[in-house]
Amino acid sequence: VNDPMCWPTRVSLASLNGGEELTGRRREHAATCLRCQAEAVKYRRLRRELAGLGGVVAPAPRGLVAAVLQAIERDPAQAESQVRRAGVAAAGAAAVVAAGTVVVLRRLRGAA
Amino acid sequence: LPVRTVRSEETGLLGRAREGDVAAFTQLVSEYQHEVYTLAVRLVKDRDLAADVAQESFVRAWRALPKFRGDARFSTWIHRITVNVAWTQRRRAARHDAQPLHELYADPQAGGISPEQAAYGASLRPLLEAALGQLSPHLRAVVVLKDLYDWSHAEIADELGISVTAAKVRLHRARRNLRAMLWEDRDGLLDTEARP
Repeated sequence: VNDPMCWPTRVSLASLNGGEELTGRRREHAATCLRCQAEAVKYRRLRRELAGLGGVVAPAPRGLVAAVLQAIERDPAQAESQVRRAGVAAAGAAAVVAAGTVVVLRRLRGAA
Repeated sequence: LPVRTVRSEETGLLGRAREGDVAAFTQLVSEYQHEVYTLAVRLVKDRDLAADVAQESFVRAWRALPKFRGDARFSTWIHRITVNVAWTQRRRAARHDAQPLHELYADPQAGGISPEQAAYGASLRPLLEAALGQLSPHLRAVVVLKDLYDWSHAEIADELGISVTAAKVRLHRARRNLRAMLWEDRDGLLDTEARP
């Protein structure tokens, strides 16, 4: 038969995160209850194993990068941004040409 | 390479990709493809669907790159996108398959985890992978993001569109279910030593 404090203690154990400890009556209970101590060990192990899984990598299928690239290239947003970039580049080039023309005209005027 | 060098290289790639350099973005995709795919597999469990999720995540990232201010790391940002895409795709797939989305966990006995396998001291990793696969998508997403990827409850709640309280409750349920699947009993109150 379990102590009435076993239930709330184990509920808390399932919610603890790394570095956290039971507090108050639950802590006092766990200090004397071997079953709850065993539960604490299981949850600690579970959290540790879960954290370990975080470092396990599933290799992406071959062709994923190519598929992404293809999707981007036929993406209307990409086409639009290319047009926008082309527009910006053309505007920039026009500005450079205009500035150059002004400089040349001034020099010619100065020489005259 | 030292971390700092890698980061500065990544910043350079990001800067170029933001300006529309497809080659730079492709390099980022190459570097993050496994990470993104892994997260997708963990969330949706189906490898084909996970590949779709990974692809869609990178495409969305590409579209959203001009808005990426760089105050978070690229990996954090792409993870958030992946979770969002996985959630959308999974919902869509579930609708097509007409599978019920159980809040409750599946029957551990049905998952092929035998008591012998779940013996103390044995490597838990394959069992844990199997047990994770048996959790409902709602519970799995929370425990994966919290315990594998160390997201905060607030981040999880924000990305999954649930309250922080709901995220905490789901984490609690998920862990209890995993614990029950790995060590047999469901409520965590049974005396495992007394069992045959």
